[in-house]
This record gives sequence, C-alpha cells and structure tokens, in this order.
Amino acid sequence: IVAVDLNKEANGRVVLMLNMVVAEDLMDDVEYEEILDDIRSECSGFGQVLGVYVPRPLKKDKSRWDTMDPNTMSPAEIAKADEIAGVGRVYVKFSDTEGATTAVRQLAGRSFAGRTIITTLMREDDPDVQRVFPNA
Amino acid sequence: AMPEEPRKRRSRWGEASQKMELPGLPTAISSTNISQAQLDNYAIQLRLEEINRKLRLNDYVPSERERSPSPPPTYDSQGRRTNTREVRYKKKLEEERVRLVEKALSIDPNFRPPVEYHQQKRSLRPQE
Repeated sequence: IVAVDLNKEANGRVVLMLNMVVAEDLMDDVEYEEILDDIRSECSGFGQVLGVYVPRPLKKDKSRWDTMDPNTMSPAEIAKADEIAGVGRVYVKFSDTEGATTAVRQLAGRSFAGRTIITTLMREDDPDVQRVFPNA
Repeated sequence: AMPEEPRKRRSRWGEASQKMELPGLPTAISSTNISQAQLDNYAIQLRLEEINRKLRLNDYVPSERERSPSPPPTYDSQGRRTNTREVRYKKKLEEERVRLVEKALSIDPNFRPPVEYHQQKRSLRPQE
C-alpha cells in the first residue's frame, strides 16, 4: 500500500473511504440516516456530490433478501456476505474529478466517530464502482 | 468556548485541523493495482495501529459531544466503581483489537499481531 500521487492518478470521480464505519453503526435506521447526512454535508464542501453509498449489513438490507435469507444463515455466512457487499466501506461520487481529488486530499486522516479515515480515488471503469453506481 | 445554541445533532466528524498521522501508514492511498481485499486488510492494519496508539496514550475517552449516554454505575465488592467511562471505552477498544487480530489471522496466517495483543490475551484470564 502506497500513498496516492494525485498528480498522476487524478482520473476518477468516486472516492472510497475506509475505516470510517463498522457494521454495528449501520444497524439502526436513525443512526444510518445521520451517518449519510454527515457524509453528504461534509463532502459537499469539496464539490457537487452525485451520490453516497454506504452498504448496510444483510440483516438490514432487504433488497438482498431475494437471494439470501439472513434468518437461515449462520453468523459466519452472514459475516462473509457482508464482507462481499463491502459493509464498512463508504463510496462518494462527485460530479467531477476535481471534487473527488480534493476530497481524497482533505478527508484523509480526518476522524469520523473516533476512527481515522483512509481515502482512495476509484477509477470509473473499476468493476466495484460500476456495481455501486450502475447508472453512471 | 463554543457558543451555546439550540442543541444541534452532533456530527461525527473530527476537526479538520486534527488529522491523525500514523508513521508508515499513509491515509490517502493509491488504489491502482490494489485488490479489494488488500484495501480492506490495510484498513484493519491501520485501525489496529490506531487502537494501539489510543491505548498507549490513554486517549480513548471521546470528547463530550461524541459520547454515548452512560449506563447505570456498577461496583465491585469493595464498592469501587467498575464501569467508569475510562474502563468502558478502554474495554471497547481492547475487544475491537481482539476481533481485528482474529480477522487478520483468518486472512493471513502469517500475520503478526501487535505485542499489546499478546499482553492483553494474558491479562484476560478471568478476574472477576
């Protein structure tokens, strides 16, 4: 893992943030909405935010229940499913690269609920980005 | 001092002027040729280092606006309080560290846990 050189890599509009939230923060509906609000309002200072995506644990994400039923799964299976869904990650899509790179620079090392944020810029053609923001 | 205004919901963001720097662990990182798993592993590694540092510096009680409501006090047989804020937050971080080390070990059996983890494991023998 190396530090980003934004002069060479400034080609993406999606910022991925790590070490910002954990599954237990995302269970309560009110808390979840507050977290989205906090992220949206802070990121708006860097550019126009087109979308914020914070995957929720399977137990709280009914949209995934058509293929998986958390009631019949073991805790280990649920944990695995959450890992694959990217629970714990935060994706923010900006309208332009400038907003995204500013956010990568400014938010790295900031604290969020006592956790130090890791930021990285994602390429538009990254399969993970396509999955998260499909109609981009 | 902050002016007293109608109680606004606390934001989870820390001050922009107080960024955390951990030696050797960059926070703005490149994702070029890095797998999803590598990114997530790095997040574990950084969090572990962060927890170690907080515990080492006794810096684990969040600022007042970040605190959750305190549970009712509990006491030991000598009448000493057993769940002070310090004790609760410290325990929380130590438990998180155990979970993270176990996760890191499940991903990479060669992972070397922080020294503090072993010390903690030893001291976790039942005491109460």
